[in-house]
Amino acid sequence: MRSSHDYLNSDVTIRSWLCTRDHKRIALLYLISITLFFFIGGAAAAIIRLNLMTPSGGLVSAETYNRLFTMHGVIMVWFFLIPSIPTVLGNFLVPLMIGAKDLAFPRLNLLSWYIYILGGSFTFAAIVAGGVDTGWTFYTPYSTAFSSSFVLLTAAGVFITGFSSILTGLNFIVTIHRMRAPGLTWFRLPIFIWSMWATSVIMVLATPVLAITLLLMAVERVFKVGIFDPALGGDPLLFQHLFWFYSHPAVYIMILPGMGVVSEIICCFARKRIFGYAFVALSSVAIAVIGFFVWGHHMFVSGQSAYAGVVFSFLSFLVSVPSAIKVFNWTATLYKGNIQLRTPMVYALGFIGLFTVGGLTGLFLAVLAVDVHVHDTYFVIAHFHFIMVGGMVSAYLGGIHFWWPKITGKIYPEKWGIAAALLLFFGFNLTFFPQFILGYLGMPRRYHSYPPEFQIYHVMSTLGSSILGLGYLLPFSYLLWSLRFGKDAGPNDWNASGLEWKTSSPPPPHNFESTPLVTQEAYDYGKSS
Amino acid sequence: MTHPSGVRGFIFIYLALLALLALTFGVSFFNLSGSWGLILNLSISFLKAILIGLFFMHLNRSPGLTRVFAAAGFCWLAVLLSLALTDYVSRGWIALPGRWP
Amino acid sequence: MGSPLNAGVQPQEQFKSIEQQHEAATQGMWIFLATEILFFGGIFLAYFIYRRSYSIGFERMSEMLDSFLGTLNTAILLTSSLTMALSVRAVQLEKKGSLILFLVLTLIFGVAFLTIKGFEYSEDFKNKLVLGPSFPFHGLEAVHMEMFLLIYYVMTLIHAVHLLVGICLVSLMVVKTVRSRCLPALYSPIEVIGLYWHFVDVVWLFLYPLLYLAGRPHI
Repeated sequence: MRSSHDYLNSDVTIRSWLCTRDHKRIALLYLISITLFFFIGGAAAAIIRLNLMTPSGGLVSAETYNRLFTMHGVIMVWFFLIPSIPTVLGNFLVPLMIGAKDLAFPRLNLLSWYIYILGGSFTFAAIVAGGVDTGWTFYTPYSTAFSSSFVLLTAAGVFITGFSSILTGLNFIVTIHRMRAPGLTWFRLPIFIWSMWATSVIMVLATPVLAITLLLMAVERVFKVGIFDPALGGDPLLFQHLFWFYSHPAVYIMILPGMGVVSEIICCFARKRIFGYAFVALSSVAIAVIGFFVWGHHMFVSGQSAYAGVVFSFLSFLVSVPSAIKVFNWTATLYKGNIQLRTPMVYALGFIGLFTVGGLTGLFLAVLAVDVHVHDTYFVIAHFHFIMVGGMVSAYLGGIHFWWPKITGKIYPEKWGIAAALLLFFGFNLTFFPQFILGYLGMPRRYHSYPPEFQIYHVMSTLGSSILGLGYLLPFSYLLWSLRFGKDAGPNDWNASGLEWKTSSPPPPHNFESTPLVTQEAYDYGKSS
Repeated sequence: MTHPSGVRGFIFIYLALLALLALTFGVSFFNLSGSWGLILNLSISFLKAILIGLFFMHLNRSPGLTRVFAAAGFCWLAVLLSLALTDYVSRGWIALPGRWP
Repeated sequence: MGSPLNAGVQPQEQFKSIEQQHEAATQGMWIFLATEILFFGGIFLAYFIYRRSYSIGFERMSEMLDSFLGTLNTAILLTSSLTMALSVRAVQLEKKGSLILFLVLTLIFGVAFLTIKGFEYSEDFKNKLVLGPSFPFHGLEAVHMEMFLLIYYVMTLIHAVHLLVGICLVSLMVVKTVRSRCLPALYSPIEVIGLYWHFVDVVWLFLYPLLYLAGRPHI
């Protein structure tokens, strides 16, 4: 039964939303914003895939095509994937899961959202003005000396949004260290909190390097100097080193929260505690740390020294180990579990399979000799989409479904949920598996046209992408539908463990009526198992 | 913390910092071979940073976690510098056409 | 353990106690300073790799900077750190007069630094030590010298911006102190701003030898 005093209806003015300090409301502000950007980035992808239906790629010009894939990358990476789980589920759940009233710095949290909106506005303005064509990687000297597109405007948007990331990470770290409820020791924390902590460490330490990189790029472009321009004595690889020092850990910002969500879902719907809790928790930390040591694997064929390549290749093998540990532990958790195939679980199971494929193909790419052949081909594109879409988006949607009753107090229609999850899984595989083959056969990335023998794979991929698109539209529709017509949720319809389930759905403005005291391990499902 | 540091302590650290500054400037009058000048300068800068961190920024009386946060930034910078430098240092080891510089 | 220095101040509602709030604030600032280390770190990487390859050009250009003014500025900034530390001490002891004095002194030293830096820039412009067509040197080594100059301007400008922000924050604290009726409530903000100020000083302690002393003794 809906309380008359939960965080949603305690004050319904617009001003109360735009000036809120409540982490739960800020999470919803982010939810709306990132969904908007997701659809913009998705629209770019749709046009790209339509263009690639025919070998001559006649739908858009090559110039426009360059702008499309750049905007797709920029928006999806910085305005959807990086914020997604941390700002929506993280903001909502971190205080709840640790038994706190709010984050450590609520006003800073609101500021983070406004900064995100400001940065997003700059980038949106760049799109409307005509976009940028450098690729989301902004490589120099093209971006600084040759491109006539809106590089500065886009870079400004990303630069600004970076601070949103930094402040969110800072907030989470301090909150998790300082504001846990009595009795909630580190090894009693939900795995989601461990993964949010690890993600926040990366956000805080990597993003500033992106900031200085974009700043230097802007200086070079505006003042026509040569920090990165070989014609003026600069080294283009310096840009790449600085860019990837951020952008590789950034991919762990994107995936670690998803792994945390999957751990929560698996435990609830297998009715078991996680297998090897300490290993799963510490593997998040290991991924965060080792993830900083591998960035050179994006530069194997760039002119980087082969010796550095060997070092980075070896370290890249190393970073796969903690990810593999997680996959093994999830599998062991599922073993002899009492599996309930509800919507979140379908997404989580999809994650495990698709992330594993993505991760393994990452290992292929980490092998120097293999990378020489598949670098800058569709193999790489398939690899990271398996992780980001097959993995991360599945986890994000799984998490949204799992916590939807808690966040909104409403239940979504389960059959539609399962249908959408299956559509996504099927559509995703049809879209991206052919791309592994394309890449292996030699189709380069970022090309708007291609030799006719590749067409069959592109057609399959485009077909898959329309099914995938349906897989996104369905949840968008029925989740919105549920807000008005869905059944009311109880405090813990899933019978899940975790402090967030011990308060009402939706929670009251201050989360808990009284500060919880924690005396048990996390995941106290079926104690006898 | 429950009681403030003494004025004398601060003045002493300040004078030590000025002395180190004088040392840095003084050493620059001498011709040191190779990159020893750079290494010496950086070491003295580190020493000054440690003094400021420990005493002016109260790290000497802060909880361990605060010290970890303080150290983390430097450690991560060390990762950036050292791994990136592995590229630059080893570029000349294989004779390849058009390598920089 | 004794009672904390700002006991009696009401914490914000998400915190259980003022000590928890104070610890959160200082740890939050330290995390922010870690981000700043990495921000500056990117340009330090640029400096090191170019110095390695362009050492002669770097040394020649560095020599043309005014190392006397650079050293003087370093001493001024160190003194401002002392007065900042004494400000924090003053707020801990609830000595309003001393607090205002030391904060204002910190401001004066900060502004003095920026003034001297501005004067240096104007001298640099007068000597045509700028990038672009009016750069007085030519040839391959000139490219290397221009790289040094570029990094010099970027590093010192970014540092100056950070110092300016610090000056604004300290000014704000002066105003708040003058108007304050409850000094312990300012303990946390002043300590946290102090951390930021000391950090800006530490950055300069690394910039100074790299930029001003690279060419010494005169080659």
